[in-house]
Amino acid sequence: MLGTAAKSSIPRKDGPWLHAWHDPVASIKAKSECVRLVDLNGDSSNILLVADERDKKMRVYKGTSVVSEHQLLDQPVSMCVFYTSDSSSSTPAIGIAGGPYVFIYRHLRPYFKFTLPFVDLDPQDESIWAEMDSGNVDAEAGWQMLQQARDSGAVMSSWSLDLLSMEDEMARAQYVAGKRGVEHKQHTVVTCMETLRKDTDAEDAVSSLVIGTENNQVLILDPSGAKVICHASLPSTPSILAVTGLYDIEWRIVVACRDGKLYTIKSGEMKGQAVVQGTVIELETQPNALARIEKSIYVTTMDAQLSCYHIKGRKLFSVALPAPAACMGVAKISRSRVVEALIASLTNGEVRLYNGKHLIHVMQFDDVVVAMRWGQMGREQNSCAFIGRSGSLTLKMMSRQANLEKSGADSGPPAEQDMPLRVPKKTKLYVEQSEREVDNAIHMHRVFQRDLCKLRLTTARSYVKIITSGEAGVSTGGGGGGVTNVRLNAQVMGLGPFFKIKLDVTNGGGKPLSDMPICVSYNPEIYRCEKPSWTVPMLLPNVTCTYEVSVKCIHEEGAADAIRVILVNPNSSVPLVSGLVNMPISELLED
Amino acid sequence: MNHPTHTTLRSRRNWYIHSCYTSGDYKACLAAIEEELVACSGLCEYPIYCKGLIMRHQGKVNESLQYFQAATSLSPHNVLNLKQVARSLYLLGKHRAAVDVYEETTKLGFEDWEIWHNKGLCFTYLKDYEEAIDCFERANDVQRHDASYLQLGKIYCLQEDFKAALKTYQEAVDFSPQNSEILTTLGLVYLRLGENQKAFDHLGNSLAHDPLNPKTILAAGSIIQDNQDMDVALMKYRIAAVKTPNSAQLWNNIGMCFFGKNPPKYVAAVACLKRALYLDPFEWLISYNLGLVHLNKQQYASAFHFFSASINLNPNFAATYMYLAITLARLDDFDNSCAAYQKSIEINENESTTRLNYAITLFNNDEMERSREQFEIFERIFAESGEGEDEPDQEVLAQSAELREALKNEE
Repeated sequence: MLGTAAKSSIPRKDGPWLHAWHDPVASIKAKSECVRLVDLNGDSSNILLVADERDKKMRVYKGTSVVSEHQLLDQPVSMCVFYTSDSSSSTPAIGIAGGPYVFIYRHLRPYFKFTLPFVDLDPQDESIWAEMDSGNVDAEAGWQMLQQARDSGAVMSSWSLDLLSMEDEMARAQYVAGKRGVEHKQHTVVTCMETLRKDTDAEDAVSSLVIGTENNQVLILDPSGAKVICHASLPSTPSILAVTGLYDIEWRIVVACRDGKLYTIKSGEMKGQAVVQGTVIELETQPNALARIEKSIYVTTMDAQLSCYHIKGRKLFSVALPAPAACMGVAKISRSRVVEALIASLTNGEVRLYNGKHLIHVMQFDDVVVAMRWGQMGREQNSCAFIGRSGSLTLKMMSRQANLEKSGADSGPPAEQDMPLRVPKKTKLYVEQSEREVDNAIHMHRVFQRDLCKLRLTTARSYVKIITSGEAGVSTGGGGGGVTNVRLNAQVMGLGPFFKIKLDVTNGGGKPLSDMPICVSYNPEIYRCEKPSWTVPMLLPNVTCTYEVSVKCIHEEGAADAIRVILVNPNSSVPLVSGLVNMPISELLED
Repeated sequence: MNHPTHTTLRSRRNWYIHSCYTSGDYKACLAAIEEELVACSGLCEYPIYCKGLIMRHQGKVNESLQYFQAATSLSPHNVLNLKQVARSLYLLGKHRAAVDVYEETTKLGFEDWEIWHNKGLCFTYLKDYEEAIDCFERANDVQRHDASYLQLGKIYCLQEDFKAALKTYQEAVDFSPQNSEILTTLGLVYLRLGENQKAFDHLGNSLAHDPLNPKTILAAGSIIQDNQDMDVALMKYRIAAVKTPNSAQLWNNIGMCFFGKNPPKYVAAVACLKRALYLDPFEWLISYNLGLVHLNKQQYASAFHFFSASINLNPNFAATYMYLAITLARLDDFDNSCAAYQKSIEINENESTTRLNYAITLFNNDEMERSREQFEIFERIFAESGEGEDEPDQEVLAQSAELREALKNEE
């Protein structure tokens, strides 16, 4: 036993988690809202319920096997388990939201359908349709009125949006005629759903459904699920609900909305009254998971932050995560006292356990966990079902010795501090050379300075030589008339004995040049040139002039020599620029 | 045709699209959006809006703008759409146009933190700092956020109004005491104002929350180094070296740590400084430090090269000329040495050590009169500055006493 005690300081791979079961091919596609652990038969042996959003089926897992599958009528938004009466033998009802309805199942059979109340239409919209219905206004005028209403900020009904989108006048008239006599009603859809207990805080206490709708409403139904007993309006569409409290005493719903803000709805003074709190938590990016622990709101956002706010809206802390979160859950362990820890699944496959801002444990999955549900599975109380993005299903249990209050992360200096610095190595030669320098510093410095002077002198001399001989496009200063930068490019064409030298002359300076003589100087024993010199009448800046010079090799054996092309400065005897053209060995002319 | 599913079709799967989007599953999200767009012949606002968001995430800002504009045309008074149009314009660098759109949203009677904050960002880029400050303050009035505080402080720093920046960061720390970035920035502002102890407190606090931030480590390490605690500084730099192995500043500091050790580790110092110089060849300070190390190592010829390189990069630092002068004096180049001393004095005439070194060099070259003259100036400056200082350098005291003695003997 001593061995284990010594080891316990080093977190094992699974830490507080005990592995129970893993099915990599369960092919489940569901969010946390559609995964529930529930005591369906009243025998304290919980089963796993999954409402699959891909094949629209509800699956019932008992232990590790699927005991039944039930076809759903619509893609499930959320699945909730609630108790309609508090007799101890009662079995729970299952509410599955889809589209504008909540389908309520009892004993795994469809039992009842709740339809969301119709939307209150915008008065402008409603009156225009009433006018069109009575025939006071024809389709065309109605269309224009609707357009005006839209531009003035009225909320459009589906009918109006349909009509406004029609380009064709005939189609519009037909559409309006089709709607004549039909009651103008607009449905809305469920966007999220949770449960709120009525008067006792127990697993099987009477509870009711809390529904968020597309038209910015949060509704609380009565426990039977037949009518709305309380409703609240928000500025945006709710996307995630976190419900706490008891309906009869005091309750609080934190709602994450699509505008990236967290709103709070509280029970009012009177029973059945809902108050939207004035304090709104504005998040910097969209929230993707929400959890409530005691008086704190935990929220993860798309920028990979886990933030914690007090329910009054004050920010407590935020932790940067290595990857954005995929979902969150709360691990609630009731032993001698209740301990709650946050389970956060990240998109890099990690499942992290946090107690407050302290990271307790990190577990690496092969897959991204997209949904999880904490609760009792079978008879094991502290279990958690994880569903991976690839459809895998994993069941884990929390070890009974697990201590969720202590931080598992070591608080000492980070590991990087123990890595020695990689100081670049110096060779023995370097050390010897530096010793030599210590002894002979003055001498070395003098030699260097002298050689530097020599180098500068040689450079200066070469430069002078170049500008005086006109070998490069260098200005000769005053003597050259301030001309700069004439470029000469020569190319030899032909195999011989007749050659063509193609000359490209470009004036790279700013001023035009005129009357520039060019001459070609060659060895008269080898070459003959028809026109060895001519004058360039005008050289405009940055315009390339091309000239061709015909040269004939007159040597008997076709010897080769270099030909010099010289561009002469008309105001000076010094050539402006010159180029040496290396001629190839000539072919012989066969007679 | 009048089946209820049809009339609610437009918003039927919005919840699903939103949930895919927030969980980062863009592939599933785009597939759902496409299905919806086909089903409603492109006339559904939220899917278009969401597609715009995803396009922007993927870097296709121009396309995202088109989607947001399409969504706006379906519902011209939805502020969310306008906000995203402005955001895309901002990302495209059209800051003026973005500000106009944000003003449009304010006209609709809508106000939140995000609008003011982003408007402030636009003004920052437009270099209209007064407006930007106003916007960030309004953003914080609506709701306080770390990002707004950081931006506000940054603008004050750009305007070199460090007092105001300090106040902003202090408020930010009060609001969010665990944000290591704010703590680091606050520490850096204190460092800039020369309040090293306060700077160190905040940097240490920041390190407690994020012990791996190389920026914080570098700043904290340099303060530790200033307090001559080289081994502790080196321990800290080890972490930074793992995180940012190619930081010239880091290797410069590590090099100077080895140099400052007792006894100094010259070879390691030179090796680290040379790596720093390799990483940032145009940083004059590294050349200057290399010069110092070589000067101490009595490699005067190399020291000369590094000092002259440093002067070429930054000709306005008086101390470089002084050290160059000392190097030249050791290299028996008395005339150039005097010229370097003169240049150093020209830049900063109230530096006592320059005068003392000049006097010593003159004395060593038998220029007694000039040496005495410089020594007198030294004593005057030293007496003046000595009053405020906590403790004069022992080496300076010893050297000056020796020279005083020597000059007396010459008389």
